Amino acid sequence: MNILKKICKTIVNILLVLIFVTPFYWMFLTAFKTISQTIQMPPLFYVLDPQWSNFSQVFEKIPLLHMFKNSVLISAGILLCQAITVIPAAYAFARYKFAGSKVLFGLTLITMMIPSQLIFLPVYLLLSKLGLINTYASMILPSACSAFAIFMLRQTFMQIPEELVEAARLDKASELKIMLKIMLPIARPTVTTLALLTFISSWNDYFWPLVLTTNDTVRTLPLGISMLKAVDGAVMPYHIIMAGNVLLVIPIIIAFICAQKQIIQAFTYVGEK
Amino acid sequence: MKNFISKVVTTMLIATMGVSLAGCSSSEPTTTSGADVSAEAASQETIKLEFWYSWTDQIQENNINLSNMFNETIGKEKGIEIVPVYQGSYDETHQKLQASYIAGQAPALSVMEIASTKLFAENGIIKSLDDYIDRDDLDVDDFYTGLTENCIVDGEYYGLPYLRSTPILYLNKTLLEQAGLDPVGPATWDEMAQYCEVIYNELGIVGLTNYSYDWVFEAFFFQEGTSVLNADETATNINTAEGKKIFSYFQDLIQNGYAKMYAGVDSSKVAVDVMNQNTAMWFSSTGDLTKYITLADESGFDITASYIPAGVTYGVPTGGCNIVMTTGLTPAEEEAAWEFMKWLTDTEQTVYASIYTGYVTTRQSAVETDEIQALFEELPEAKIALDQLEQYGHGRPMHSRYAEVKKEFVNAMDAVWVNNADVDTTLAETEAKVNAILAN
Repeated sequence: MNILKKICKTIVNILLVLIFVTPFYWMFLTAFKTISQTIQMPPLFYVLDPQWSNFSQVFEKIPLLHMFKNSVLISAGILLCQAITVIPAAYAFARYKFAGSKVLFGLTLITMMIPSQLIFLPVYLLLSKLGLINTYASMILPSACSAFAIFMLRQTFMQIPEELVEAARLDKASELKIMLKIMLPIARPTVTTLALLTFISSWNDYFWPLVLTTNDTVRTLPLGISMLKAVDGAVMPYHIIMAGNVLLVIPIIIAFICAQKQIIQAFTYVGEK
Repeated sequence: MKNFISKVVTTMLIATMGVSLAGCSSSEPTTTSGADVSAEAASQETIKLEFWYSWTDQIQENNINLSNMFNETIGKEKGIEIVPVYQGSYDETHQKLQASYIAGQAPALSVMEIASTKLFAENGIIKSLDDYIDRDDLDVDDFYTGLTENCIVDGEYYGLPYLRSTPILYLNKTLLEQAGLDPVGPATWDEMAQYCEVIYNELGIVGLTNYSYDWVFEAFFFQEGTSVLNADETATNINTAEGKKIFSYFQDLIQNGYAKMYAGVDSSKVAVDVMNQNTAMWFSSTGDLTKYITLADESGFDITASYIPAGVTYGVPTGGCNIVMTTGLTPAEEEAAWEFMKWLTDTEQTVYASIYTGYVTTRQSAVETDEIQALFEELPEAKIALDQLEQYGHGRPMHSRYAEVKKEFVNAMDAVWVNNADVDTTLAETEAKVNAILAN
């Protein structure tokens, strides 16, 4: 009975892994195919003569390094801005009882329910009036704060025992010190997870960069990848697009591997509550 | 809302940072908004103009190369610098052009998909070129008539033909020969049906593959001596004897297994069937010629091309883009933009673009050049495409809501050819919907 259970469990696990790994395998595989191999039926599950030139073609077709730099700067800028705005806000909502705090928190949550497609035109016009189109500021400012992150971090801060904060206050620690030295380290798994989620969403963001740029100055990698598929014709160059995608996801995979332990902790922590 | 609230909070916090970032990036050399351009022009006496284009690949290279050639010759002489900027597909370019126009940051020059010319002209975003054409006595009659039809709105030119194409019939020569058919291809729709039947019987595959392709759909109507919309674009001709004939013709082929139709969203499946030799004939743009030759080479078969078969006559729409100038430029900028447009669409440059990209040459004088004659020798299919354009090319409908109309046509094709809906009811419904759109 036990063996049967184990076998079932293993099969389910293998299936789960396959579901997650197959798309990645297919992406890597296609990145090494020739154009006719990409649309061959039945499909090829391996390639014997990997086409490394697909990658060099990506570099020829789009200013990849420039876009990579833009993606890094913009993602880092958004992370920094959110750190500055989210942490104090979450701390205030979690630890202070002030007049209107509930209303303000409610307002913050409401902002999560409004799709960005609804506000892109006013934001575009505003940024264009400020002369910020095609600047890094225009890419960072719309994401400089996150209601979701405030909400998540507030929940974590609220779980931290009040005694710890009081003990710190008795030792005459300033509010800033309490927030940074006591609350933040305890909330580290949540902060890491939020940072990773923010990084991934800003790294992969397509909509804002598409709307807010008219030239390559601050265009990011996802726009570059979509440029690869913008060919006026019937035959889509999937091999080049996938080579570009491989280059796009590598930083995310690295970031995920680095933060993996923290993420698991964060979810376990939330689960235990 | 998210941004409204968050911005109130965050703008104060990071104002300094935002300003410094903006400062950093505005020193980037490629930042050339409308305002920057005129400021720079005044200081350096060189007029810098943005030229927005669509698509990557050879098309992108062609646009960059031609801009550079202009900058190094006439541009240098007259103090004009063209900055080519990529914007995505045609739809994306149009959307960005509208948005940037509203924000007062429109480029001086842009490519424009031909069917959208009227919409942009009526909204005052692009400029009539008649004064310049008259002043410089530009020989617009040298352009093929099928190409200029979509440049003209209310009798005035709003664009010049640039990267243009027509649909043609592609044939897998190897398969046709295997089936014992003449690889020249079917000349009429009756012959097309015979070809399909023979291919099905001899090789066990469909003769023709297509998808709900609005552009080729327009060709079918031209071949019946009519058009998808009536002459003043107030009603559709879909629910007529000709329309019913077209829909029933393909429905019969499909039901017999002689032809295969994919839904509009599955257009990429046609190339898969072509590549795997599961079909012998398909429709595509003249611009795809070199790509299909590459695919065929890699897979070991030969391809050729012919006119799309005739009904009562031959006939095809034209496609691709014109080059247009936006409104709101200073007289000096306008003059500079016109200089580039004129140069870009001249014989020598259309020859260059045609050879580089596979689009058709736009001027009749280009055919006489040695380069084009050499191209015809090397690639006889290119001549077929150009002959078809010269004799049977038409403009596309330009109604400002034609984009919505096209979707209804695609829905009708999907319904009848993919989901086997009844022809009469589908066409009656589509007619009602389309006429309602056109009336608005």
